[in-house]
Amino acid sequence: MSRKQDFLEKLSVLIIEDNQGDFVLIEDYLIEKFKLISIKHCSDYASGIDYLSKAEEKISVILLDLNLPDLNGLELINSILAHNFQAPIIILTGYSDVSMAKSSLKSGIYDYLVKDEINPAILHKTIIYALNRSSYIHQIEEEKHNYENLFNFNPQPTWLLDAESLEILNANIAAQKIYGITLDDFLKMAFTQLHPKEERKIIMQTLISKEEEEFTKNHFTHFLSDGKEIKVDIYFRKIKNISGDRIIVQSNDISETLKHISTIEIQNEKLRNIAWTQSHGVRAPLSRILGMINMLEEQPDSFDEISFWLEQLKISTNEMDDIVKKIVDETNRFEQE
Amino acid sequence: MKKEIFIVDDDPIYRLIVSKTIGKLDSSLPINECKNGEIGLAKLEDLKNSKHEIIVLLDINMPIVNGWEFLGAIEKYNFYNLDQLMIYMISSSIDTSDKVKADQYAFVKGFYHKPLTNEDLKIIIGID
Repeated sequence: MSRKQDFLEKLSVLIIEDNQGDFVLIEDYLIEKFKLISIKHCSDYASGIDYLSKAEEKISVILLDLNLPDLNGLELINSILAHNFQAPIIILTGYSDVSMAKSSLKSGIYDYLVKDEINPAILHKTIIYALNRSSYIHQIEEEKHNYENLFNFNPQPTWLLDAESLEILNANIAAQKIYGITLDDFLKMAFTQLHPKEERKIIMQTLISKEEEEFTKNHFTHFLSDGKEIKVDIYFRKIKNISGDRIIVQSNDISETLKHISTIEIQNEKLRNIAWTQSHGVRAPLSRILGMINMLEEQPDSFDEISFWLEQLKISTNEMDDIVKKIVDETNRFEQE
Repeated sequence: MKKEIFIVDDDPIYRLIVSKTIGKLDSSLPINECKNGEIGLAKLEDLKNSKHEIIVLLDINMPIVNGWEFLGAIEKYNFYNLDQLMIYMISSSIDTSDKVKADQYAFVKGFYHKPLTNEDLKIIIGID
């Protein structure tokens, strides 16, 4: 909406018209209908192009006479369109050129006006329509650009595939970097070629199926250009565009995650062993110590017997101390690993 | 009836504690100390066909023949034809898997954790 307000507030129109009478008439109509307007006049193609190329002020709309002294007709239309100016172009023509003006609408001209039919209301309506359409087209182009960025700069490898052949139609920067495959090489491949032979069937079936199913199996294997394998999860969505059905596919490298899981499993096994040692190793001298304390409580017969048990207590306590140290060492070593 | 005690365990201090404790409860009971299962089995074989009540206090973790192998051999040799063989598993471990395993041997009379207290031994040797 802000764009619309912009051009309502301040409109700048370039009129490329060699006939002074026609120009003055159009100028009057414009001033009548638009309160804030700046009008620029060029009387031939060359000066019009020159002005557009150098203009500091943004031109909102171009009114172009189809018969200029230095260029006219189809050649004029094609030449000015080739410059790709942002402003929408409206052709001013006589009855004789109406069919040419009509066909030019396909190539990028916004609208045409038959000079003899122009009045302030028609001129006003035509310009407002052209500006609105131009504004929507720019919005769509900006969004297209945003989507291209979303695709290209997504940190996850992403591909665009043909929905029937699974041929790769585009691959984003992350895919090129992580897989070490250039866009040109990707474009010669089908997506299934990233997979080992035994996985190709399920990939094919799931991606091509009519329903949007998730993969029931995860952890697929992908080959990188250097022959290295990575484990991946694969996500996809079907999309439609003018040229046919497409599939957007993303891969998520889970090799590290799987490695971490296996490391944790190994660590768990070690922890179980440590727990076993605690239960068996520590408890052996401990139960002996408890047994000896029972003996001492039973009021031993002689001083010799007391010293014997005390000596044995010391031995068993040291033994237990060694086992505890060993457990601590093992735990430390395992943490460092 | 005549009773005889077997302490099958590789820990000499434990054997000493148990035999002293039993000695105090009933000094008339003969006590055999065996430092592993192999020696224990050999001594039981010597008593073949005896009508004595034989009480075995069996450790689990021992060198040469451990507690489980000891039980296996007893079964294999048909209990040496001993009428009254009472086997008690005595373990320093508090790992429940050992208790579960011991329960699978119907002829094992009980499972105790070390250390054996006076009260435990009174029950095992049958003194009120």
